[in-house]
Amino acid sequence: MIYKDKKERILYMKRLSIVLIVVAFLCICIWILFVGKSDRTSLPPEIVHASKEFKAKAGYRVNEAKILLPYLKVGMSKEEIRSLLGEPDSKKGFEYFACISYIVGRSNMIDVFLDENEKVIHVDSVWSEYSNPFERAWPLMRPGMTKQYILRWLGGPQKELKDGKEYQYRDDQFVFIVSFDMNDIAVKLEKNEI
Amino acid sequence: MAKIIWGHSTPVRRRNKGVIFLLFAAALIVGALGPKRALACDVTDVDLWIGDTSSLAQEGNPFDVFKCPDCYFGWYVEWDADPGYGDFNGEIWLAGVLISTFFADSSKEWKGGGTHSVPGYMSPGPKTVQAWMRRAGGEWCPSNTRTLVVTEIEDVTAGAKHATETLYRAQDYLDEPSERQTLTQGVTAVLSEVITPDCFYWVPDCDEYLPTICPDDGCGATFSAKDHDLYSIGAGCGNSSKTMSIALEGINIYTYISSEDEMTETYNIFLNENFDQKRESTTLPGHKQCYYVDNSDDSLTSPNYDNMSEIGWINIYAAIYGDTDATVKFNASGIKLYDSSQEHNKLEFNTEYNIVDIGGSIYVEGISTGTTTLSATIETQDGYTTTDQLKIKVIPLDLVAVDPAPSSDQHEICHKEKLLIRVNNNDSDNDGTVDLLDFELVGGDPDLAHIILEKPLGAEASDISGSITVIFPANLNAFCYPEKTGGIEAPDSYSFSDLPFDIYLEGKSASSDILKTSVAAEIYFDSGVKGHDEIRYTVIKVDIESPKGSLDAVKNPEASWLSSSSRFDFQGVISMAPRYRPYVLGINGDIKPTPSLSYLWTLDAAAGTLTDDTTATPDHTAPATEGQGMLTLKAMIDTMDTGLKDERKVKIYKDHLERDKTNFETGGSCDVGWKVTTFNVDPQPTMIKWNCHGSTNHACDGSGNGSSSGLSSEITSWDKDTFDVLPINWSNVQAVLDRGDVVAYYAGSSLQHSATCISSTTTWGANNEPVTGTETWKWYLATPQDWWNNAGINNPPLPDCTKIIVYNKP
Repeated sequence: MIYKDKKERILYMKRLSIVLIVVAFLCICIWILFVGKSDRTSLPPEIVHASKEFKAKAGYRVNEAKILLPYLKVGMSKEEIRSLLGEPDSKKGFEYFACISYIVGRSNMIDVFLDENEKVIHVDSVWSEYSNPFERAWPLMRPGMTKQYILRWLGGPQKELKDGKEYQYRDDQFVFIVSFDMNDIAVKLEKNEI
Repeated sequence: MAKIIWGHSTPVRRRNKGVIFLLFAAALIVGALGPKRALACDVTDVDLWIGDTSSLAQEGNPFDVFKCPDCYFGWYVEWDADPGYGDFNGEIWLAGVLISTFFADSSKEWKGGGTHSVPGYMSPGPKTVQAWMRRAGGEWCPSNTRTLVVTEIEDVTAGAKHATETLYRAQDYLDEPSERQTLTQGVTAVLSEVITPDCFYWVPDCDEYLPTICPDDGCGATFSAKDHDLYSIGAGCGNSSKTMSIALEGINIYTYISSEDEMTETYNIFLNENFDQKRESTTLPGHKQCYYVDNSDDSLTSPNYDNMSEIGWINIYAAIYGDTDATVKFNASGIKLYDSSQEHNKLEFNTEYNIVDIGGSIYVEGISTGTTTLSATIETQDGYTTTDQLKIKVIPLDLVAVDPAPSSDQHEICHKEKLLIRVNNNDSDNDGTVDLLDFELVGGDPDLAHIILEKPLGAEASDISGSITVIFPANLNAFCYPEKTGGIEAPDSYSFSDLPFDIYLEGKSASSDILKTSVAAEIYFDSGVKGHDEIRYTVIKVDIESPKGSLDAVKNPEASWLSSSSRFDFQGVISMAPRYRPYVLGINGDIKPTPSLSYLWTLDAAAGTLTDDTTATPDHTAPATEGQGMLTLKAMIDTMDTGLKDERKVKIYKDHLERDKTNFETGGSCDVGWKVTTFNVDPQPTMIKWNCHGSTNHACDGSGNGSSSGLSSEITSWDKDTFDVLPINWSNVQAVLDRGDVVAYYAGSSLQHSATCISSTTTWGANNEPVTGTETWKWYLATPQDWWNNAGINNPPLPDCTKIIVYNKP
């Protein structure tokens, strides 16, 4: 290429550098979107199949749900849930979390609870092995919640300790302890086996 | 001389002694008469006069003259003689002593005069005065003689006291000089002669300033003085004098009140009717150790020291000037006096006490309300008295317990059976707000204690220094009104005009022990004396902590919902019901203070029975049939019922189904976030999704978590009736249905739905609405046929149901 002068040559080199940088950036994005994602969704074929079937069916998908449930983990993003289960059948918002629900069959749904960052905090289904309603609700409780809110979901404690700053719940297997600060905000939640 | 006398034999010595004696006697005679006076006179008619002064002598005073030693007297002499030759010499002799000489020119008047003092050494009594005259070189010629009586002061007296002693008089108004009147006392000088010499004098003299003795030239006079002091008085004449003292004693009882106001203003003290000394009295039934009021005995120190800030303190000053025999007597009413010794011995009225023993102050205790005059009378050793007075007002301070009231005001700190306040954690006005958090109870809260801070009887605003304070501890709230309005912070102050003042006390937390919550009023009078009254309460916490809710509550707390078993804590199930969770009530109470108070639980028989009913956690045994009744926790002191109690109405259901249906009702959501709305629970508990099988299992025996993929083994173990011939003969199905039975719907072998029969026709459960399409997730009533026809078949993509199994409740 012939340049009119040195100034034009420098201008050309600058443009070339910008183009190269943009191309490199696009390559990285494509790698992240396709290669990276494919790594993360590298699920067993039966799961991929169950997911595909679950998403394809509507209203009655008990078998697929049973297969997929073990892969629904606390900490997953809402997008990851959607990639597995598809669009939820219903959504509900609460003060400290949201719930997206998938119909599985008659009187049978998967409820996925998401925190304010849309990360999974709890997955509830008819197959959950909780011995009572309290244990089902316990995973929804987190530090930062008010005492009133916790009372509303967990009900009255068996014991109020430390001048009401510690609630203790018990069932046959566990003792559950919620500690509150001076402003009655939950600061610590413990679940200990008896 | 000794040799003359003693150097010879005895006869010679006697002769010599006689000669010497005669010579000595002759010398004395010559010396006494004078050699000149024994000779013939050439001056005639020598006339001598004496007087108090020279002029009086010259005037021819015919009388004897009275003079004290060292006092001057006048003399005057006239004489005759042959004219012509020689001047004159004169001499004046007093009692044989030449006291004066003079010279007269013969060419002038033949007379002479002058003054001279009586020699200081001269003894009292009449003395002869005589003049001797002569011409120069001539013979001495005597005058007539005159008598000068030498006089001395032998004593001074006042009252019964004599020279060198002190007469102790008493004078009023030691503290008020302007009010004093002049006090007079007759004084007498006792002379050796009846005539008072002109040179007699008193000290002090009779001038215009007190003290005075008037007249100051007579031996009988009057001493006058006004101020309290020790006065020295004396009578003198020449060099003769006598002195004594007169003391004007006085007494002053004084406080901060100025002297001129002490009979118009009052010294204010406290009616000492509290219990600082802890003098034990008889303890009546229902009382803790009672005490006598502090002012009911004659001691400030026994068995314990009284609070001395509640006792008046008065200064006593006596000006006694050495009168150690002076005594003091007190008199008053409505008060008691104590000395300032360490023992604070009581001082009786109208009893003489040595003023020295009383010291500088006395303590005054109020024993009856009103005004009195305290008088202190000092009596000198000579029997004279004077009194000072102080007006004293005894003022009560009374904090009256109106409701609850003790048996008497004197039992306001010990009547443990009556003086009770409950921790106000009930809901007296049934508005759903616990009274402790409710600050407007229409019609008043019956759980408040009512007291009145009375206006101190007989007091005036000016009697009080500052304000009147009411103090109450942190475990009480106080209000101006029974509706709990007009909150009062402790300590609270009231001005005199605010009184009487009603105060309503609310128990906030329990006392540490019986009668350990003290509500006190304090007042400081302008005297600095403090008044204090108190009422002692026991704040009792009697609280059923479990169950927290009550069947009849207008508002049940959210804590009354037991999430783990999904029921209210006041709900039980009869003993015959299948059980998974305890169907008995979990009962737990809290009574404070412990161990002074004890538990007594009662339960209406319809709701079961209790064992260990005197513990915090009695055991409940459910009845065999459904029923409801009152669970009551009573606070007991020993075997005495305090009357303070907490109550819960509880219900024992005939089965879990009945309880769940009551709690969850029909038509409401059972989807995630659904709420329990029954029994006025507020805030309403929030639930996670319940499905049909979860509700069926729970209605069976209270088990499960509300969500299940199938029926519990308890249910599937029951006898069953299967209906799998299509179409279903609903009459046959209905024929086997009974309350409590479970109807399960299957598609092939796959369980699709279940619900619990509430009768032979109708089922109830979660997500039981018979709808086609999307499920509504509601608690619902439906006949099996309705559900089958609407939701069970022809409802794609859900599979069609093909079978019904009815599990028959045993």
